[in-house]
Amino acid sequence: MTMTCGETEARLVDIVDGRLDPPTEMRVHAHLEGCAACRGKAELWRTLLPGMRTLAPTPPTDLAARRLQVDVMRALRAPAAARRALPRLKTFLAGGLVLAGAAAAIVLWLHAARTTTTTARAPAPYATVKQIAGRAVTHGQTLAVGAPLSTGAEIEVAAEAGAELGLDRGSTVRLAGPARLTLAGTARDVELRLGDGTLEAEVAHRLANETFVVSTRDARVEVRGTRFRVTTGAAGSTVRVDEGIVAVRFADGSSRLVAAGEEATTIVAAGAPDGLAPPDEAPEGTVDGPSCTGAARRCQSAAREARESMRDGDSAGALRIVAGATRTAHCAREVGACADELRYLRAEALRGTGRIDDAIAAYRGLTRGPATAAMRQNALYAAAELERRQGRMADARADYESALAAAPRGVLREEALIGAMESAALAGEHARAAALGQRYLSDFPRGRAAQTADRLAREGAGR
Amino acid sequence: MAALVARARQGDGAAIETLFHLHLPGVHRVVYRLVGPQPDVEDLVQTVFVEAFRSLAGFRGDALFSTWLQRIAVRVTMHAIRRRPPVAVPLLSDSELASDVPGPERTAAAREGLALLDQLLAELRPKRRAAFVLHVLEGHSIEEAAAILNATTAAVKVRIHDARRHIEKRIARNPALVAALTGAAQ
Repeated sequence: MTMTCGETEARLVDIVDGRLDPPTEMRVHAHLEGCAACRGKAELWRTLLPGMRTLAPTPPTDLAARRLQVDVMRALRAPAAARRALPRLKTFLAGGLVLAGAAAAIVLWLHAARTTTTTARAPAPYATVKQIAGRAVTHGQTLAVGAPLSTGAEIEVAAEAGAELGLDRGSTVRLAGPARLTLAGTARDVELRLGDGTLEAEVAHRLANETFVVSTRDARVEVRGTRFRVTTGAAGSTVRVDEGIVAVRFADGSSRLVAAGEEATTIVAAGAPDGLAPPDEAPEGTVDGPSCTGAARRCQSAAREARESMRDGDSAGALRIVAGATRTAHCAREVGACADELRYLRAEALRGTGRIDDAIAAYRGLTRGPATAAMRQNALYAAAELERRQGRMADARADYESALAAAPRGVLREEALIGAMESAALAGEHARAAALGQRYLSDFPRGRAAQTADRLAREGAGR
Repeated sequence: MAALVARARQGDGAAIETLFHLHLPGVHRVVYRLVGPQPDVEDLVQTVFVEAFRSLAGFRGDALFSTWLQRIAVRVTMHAIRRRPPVAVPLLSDSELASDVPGPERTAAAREGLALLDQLLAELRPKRRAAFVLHVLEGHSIEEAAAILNATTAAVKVRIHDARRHIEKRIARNPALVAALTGAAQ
């Protein structure tokens, strides 16, 4: 029995992939011999398929893969972290905990009941008051433990007082008075508007389509799963990250990623970083560039373009973009941390173009500037990885250890310790390898390299 | 692989990390092909692995681990796509294509070819796109694609047929597409 055109078309990909059983294959070929239209389509897909299949995105780089791995492992531990959040209010509030009284609870319950009956379409609550220390009110009513809070709720916490809110999905927010906070958004897309005061958040992992934002009058902090603190007042806002990474968008449209141990502020501070472009790549004659107006935006724009270029696999293009960025030594204050980001991108681009020694030097160069601890750790770690691939084990060991020292609590801590330990062993530095092994076992007794660490520590002791 | 999965199910961190690194490129590629060059690709990849490792107890071993993981990747990604506001897709103009014929440099050809494929895929409805990606680009059989998509084989055949027809029409209108899409491989 011969096949129809429809049946043959349905098997076009199977024909090319050789997935048909012999009888079906014979029937398909019989049809193709007598049908020019199907033969043409079969030929088209035979031509298209191999090419289309090779058109795949560049897989994540080693460093990106490691960062993703760290994020995944942290997210897997997130529920446990959220469960531990409750006792932290003790340390967060110097004054200790004071539970709200029963009378206040009744008042709030009455208020909540009234709200429910009069506003049938009120949004569903997505936060609950977990703890109160001192005086805190919402819409003039005293806040009570257990009270549900919906979008639109305005919370005021008195001086020396504090409040802890539990949010859906296991996140926790602590307010230190005096503070004013308005709940906006929904359980999926949380937005907390901080009018004044300090807010500390411990955000459990958010799914890809969920957002968690803390906004002040001059900054917006976007996170997925992390621990951070925002302080805002008349002078500006400060964001400090204890764990993970957040994106901070400023009122001027610029944005910055802030990692664990780092701080971003809208408060203008003295002592800003040096010029923007690396000396050997900067175009001549631009030292006294025109105006600093928009310098930060230009820098961000160059960094964004360079990143896109890197993502497209065009490291040489990224290098040209970084080199072409106007040198703005006199705009240091305006450019801020973006200069470090460009330096880091330059190192990555050098690595991408195969200039490994230059890349190592560029990564190391970041440690001599004002770069943040997390960036220094990333840079030193990247340098160490390259040195290790080149077989320069002693250099690699030294840079892994420097990466550890740059940010002792950074996200690459375990990876750097493993790298240092293994490089030391490969370099024949047995005593050092044993010491690093012992340190690993002490810091990560159940870590993935515990067996290796134990072996190295014992070998060191036996020598 | 079965032993690795068994260790991961018991909470062995090293096994989980090994599984992550083994399957990261595949998951990243599928998610990218389903959503295109979007900024949240890595977030989606992260969500896929978190969901997978959290539900490892539900993996019975009936399918390959990679197939099971792809099922989660498709579910997570399709869920995210459904919640997104619709985006207008710029259609490829003929003049654009004429100037997009790949140059001599292989990487440039690959980059341009990928951008064209991204645009073609973006023109497909999500379900057609998913079926096309799994069967045509990822090389799964119709039955495997149906299992991953949790759909009947008949439905998957129709989606693939419609997607294929769409691309054939685009090529009929501009034959330069063939060279652009296959330039990197030649």
